[in-house]
Amino acid sequence: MKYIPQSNEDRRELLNAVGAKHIDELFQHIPSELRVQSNLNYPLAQSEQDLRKTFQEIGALSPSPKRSFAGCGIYQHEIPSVVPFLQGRSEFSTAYTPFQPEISQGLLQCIYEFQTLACQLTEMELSNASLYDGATSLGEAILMALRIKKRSKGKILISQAIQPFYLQVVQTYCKNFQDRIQFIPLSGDHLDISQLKQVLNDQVDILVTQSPNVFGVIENYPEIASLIKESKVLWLTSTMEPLSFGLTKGPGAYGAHIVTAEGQSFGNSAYLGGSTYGIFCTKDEFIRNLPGRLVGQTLDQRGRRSYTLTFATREQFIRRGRATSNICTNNNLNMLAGLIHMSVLGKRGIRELAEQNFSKTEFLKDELRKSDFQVSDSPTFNEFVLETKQPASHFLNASSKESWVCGVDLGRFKEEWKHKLLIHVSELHSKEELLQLTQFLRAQSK
Amino acid sequence: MKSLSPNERLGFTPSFEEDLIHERSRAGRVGYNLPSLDVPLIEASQLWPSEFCRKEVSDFPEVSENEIVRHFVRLSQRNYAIDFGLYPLGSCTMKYNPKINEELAQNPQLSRLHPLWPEEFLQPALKIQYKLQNLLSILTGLEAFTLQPSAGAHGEYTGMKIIQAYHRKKNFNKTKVLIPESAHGTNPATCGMLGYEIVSIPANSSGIVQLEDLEGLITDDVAGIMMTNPNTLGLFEEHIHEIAKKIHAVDGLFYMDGANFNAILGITRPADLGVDVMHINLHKTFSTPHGGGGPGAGAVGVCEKLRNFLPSPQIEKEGSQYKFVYDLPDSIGRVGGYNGNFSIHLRALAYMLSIGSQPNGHPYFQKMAEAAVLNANYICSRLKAFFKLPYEKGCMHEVLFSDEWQTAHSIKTLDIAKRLMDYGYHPMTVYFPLVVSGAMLIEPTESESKESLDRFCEAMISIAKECKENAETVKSAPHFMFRERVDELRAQKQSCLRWKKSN
Repeated sequence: MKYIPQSNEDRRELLNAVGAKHIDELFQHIPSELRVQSNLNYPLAQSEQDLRKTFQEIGALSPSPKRSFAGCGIYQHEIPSVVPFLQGRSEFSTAYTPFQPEISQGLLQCIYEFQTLACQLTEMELSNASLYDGATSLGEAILMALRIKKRSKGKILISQAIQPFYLQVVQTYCKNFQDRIQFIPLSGDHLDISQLKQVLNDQVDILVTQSPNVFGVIENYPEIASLIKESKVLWLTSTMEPLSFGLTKGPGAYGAHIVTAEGQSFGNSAYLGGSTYGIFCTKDEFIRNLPGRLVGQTLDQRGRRSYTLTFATREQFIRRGRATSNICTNNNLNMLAGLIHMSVLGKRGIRELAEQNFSKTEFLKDELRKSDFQVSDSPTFNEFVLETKQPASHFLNASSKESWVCGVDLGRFKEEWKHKLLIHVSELHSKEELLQLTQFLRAQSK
Repeated sequence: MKSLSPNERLGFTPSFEEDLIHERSRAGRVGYNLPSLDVPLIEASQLWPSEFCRKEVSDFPEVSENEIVRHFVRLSQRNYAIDFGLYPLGSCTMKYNPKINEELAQNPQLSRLHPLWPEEFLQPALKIQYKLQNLLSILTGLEAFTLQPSAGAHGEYTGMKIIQAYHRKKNFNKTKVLIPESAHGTNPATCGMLGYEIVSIPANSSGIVQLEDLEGLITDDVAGIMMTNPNTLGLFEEHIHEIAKKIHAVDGLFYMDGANFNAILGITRPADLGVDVMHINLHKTFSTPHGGGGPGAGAVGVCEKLRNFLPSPQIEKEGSQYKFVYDLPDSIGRVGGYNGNFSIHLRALAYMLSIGSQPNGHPYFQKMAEAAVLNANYICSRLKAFFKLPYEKGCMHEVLFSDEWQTAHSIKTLDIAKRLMDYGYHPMTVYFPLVVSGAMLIEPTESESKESLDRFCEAMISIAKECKENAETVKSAPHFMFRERVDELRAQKQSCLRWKKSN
């Protein structure tokens, strides 16, 4: 076995050294009736050549869509060549969590740089080293807010325009507090601000919003900000497409208390939605309640600038049952891809890329309006809802037949949304492809 | 007095140092290029209220591509990694990460798969997850699996949530979970998140849970027990089967933390030991790269009666087609955004296929466990004359020492760990488990050759001698690392958690 250096000769020497005649002696504390006595009918081992063949066959089980306009939380963008090149270096990928700072300065500095970029992007004060993904980050944010408000038993207001998978995760995380959750209804494709105004009172602890929301619409954060400004409500936000921060203000600019985002757009391929990473930012005052890892700058014995994991007394390996979370992973390698991609884009690139996404999306909306389609006037970034006469699934079936994907049928989440086709447009879509999409939608609408 | 290096005399950063990416930034530099825009440029301010619009992402770095490459290559070199050498972190299973798995993961037919595409496009992913679940069932004996959890701790959360949902469905009032004192911190933290009261099982001199330790603890309100097996002291819990029976007698469920599954692959199956729920860290036992702190993947397996409580969606096979099943009324719901860390699942599957049976002889997965256990026992036998072994019972895949003999020279575990770096090794796991003062937990895995183990042992023996003869050198270590000892206290007292333009 090429992954096990122990030859039969080695094994004899090692057994000899430990004073055992047979390997079974090392397992003698396991009662023999509980021992496995067969090969469990486990399939035969595959060689490297076999593996390539197996995975080629599996990969070919489905056609690869020629084009995709699917978004709704996972977005395909062009990944610069330096991202996989650097992320793939095994000095990064085959390291463990940097618990020992003297031997892990590289990783620690990467995390510190990421924390900086995440704060700049969201206009927040403090970022952790990242969490699993956007949805669990939102769940953790609510648990964190509940810790901050631990003496209070007030309501948790949640927008109904949050992506349903995110809501499902939130509901799982909040099962034990579900009686405190109240949903804020929508006004068309965005949060109903007047309804929010009505339900906001002293009995509310937490407000949860998402922007752009499940319909791609940018929520009116300036108005929400003015509503909660004088209250004690903790405002938690979620963003599925952080590239939108190239053009929109960060939630921190409006006074949000905990800002979460899915990081996949920066540097990571879709991979069925995982692995990705979650961006998690807050205000300095809440540091003791923060879940996840945190890196800080310090000095070594000789006074040289150094980095280390810090504020560990929040974490499970020290505080155990009273930890801020059980989390001990930061999806570091995905975060690293995000860090590299954001560094590549830089100040100008993030804006230019966001502008391209925005311009192409608006171009398509205009084309569709010219073709008498109903497209909302609400502000959007790089995806929007097309109201379709036939169910959206009709269009999906038609594009699937031609081996491409025209968007996401929001009816998959809710029956009442079945005439909503969510279309995501990015820098990857050419003008010609956008015109083809318009033609296709027109033809299929007849 | 500090002597200046040649570069420092020139006022440059010493050559192996590396500034922050923000400090490399110069206005006007770019590291990207985009195709020219083929539609009219529209400014957001033309269509959005002005309060939505951002002028710029202030202080985002401006660096050219070649400088970015140098920056991150340099940072990568200021790190230890498995591909560099033995990484003896106990409880972490730092085994070799095969390169073929990385190659397979780059396949665009897999990397491009969007979770919300119609299922006819997702067959490769569904088949990979389905196959992986089946192989995990074979190795554990547990009937059903979910791959949704993103990590081990996330798997614990999922598994305990399933236990909670099961008891609620049965209208049992269960409020407590038993957890041995030696457990991973994630076990009590998980129970804390779910509102359980934690009942600690005190440690004893044998290192494993004895039936009498449980006397009076197993009451009707006990939801279950969380145990790691082999446990965090590297010892096999011999009474696990009887403990499971006692827990089951009060309608409690047995949760096994599978962090140390590597030691018993193909040796014994958790379901046969009485386990009802278990998570498996695919990034440990099944070799996917740890990534410097993730992504991991936590698969959770359950016995038949808990199947319906697994997270939604589940994967089913109908004829030759695979599909997601969402309509699961008893399910605990969704625990992650999509379908778990698929990019890790496919690597784990590649590994699981490569460690299968042989036409003649034992399956490779069993050889793996045997080699891992033999290697740990070898380290134990070579080092036990130099470091105190708190438990004499034979170890499994990891061996636990304490600093008891070194404290006589006022040297503690942390010093030994730091000194080990000077010998070219990443330290072992330190101060865990908490039940042993000054714990040093060493897990060599099956990936190490005898020579590699010997060199490591010689380094440890040499340190043991230095503790007697040259204590100061050990206490002030490391001396040959990227940094001398880092002031962790200062990081918290004078906290600086991000770069700012002014500092």
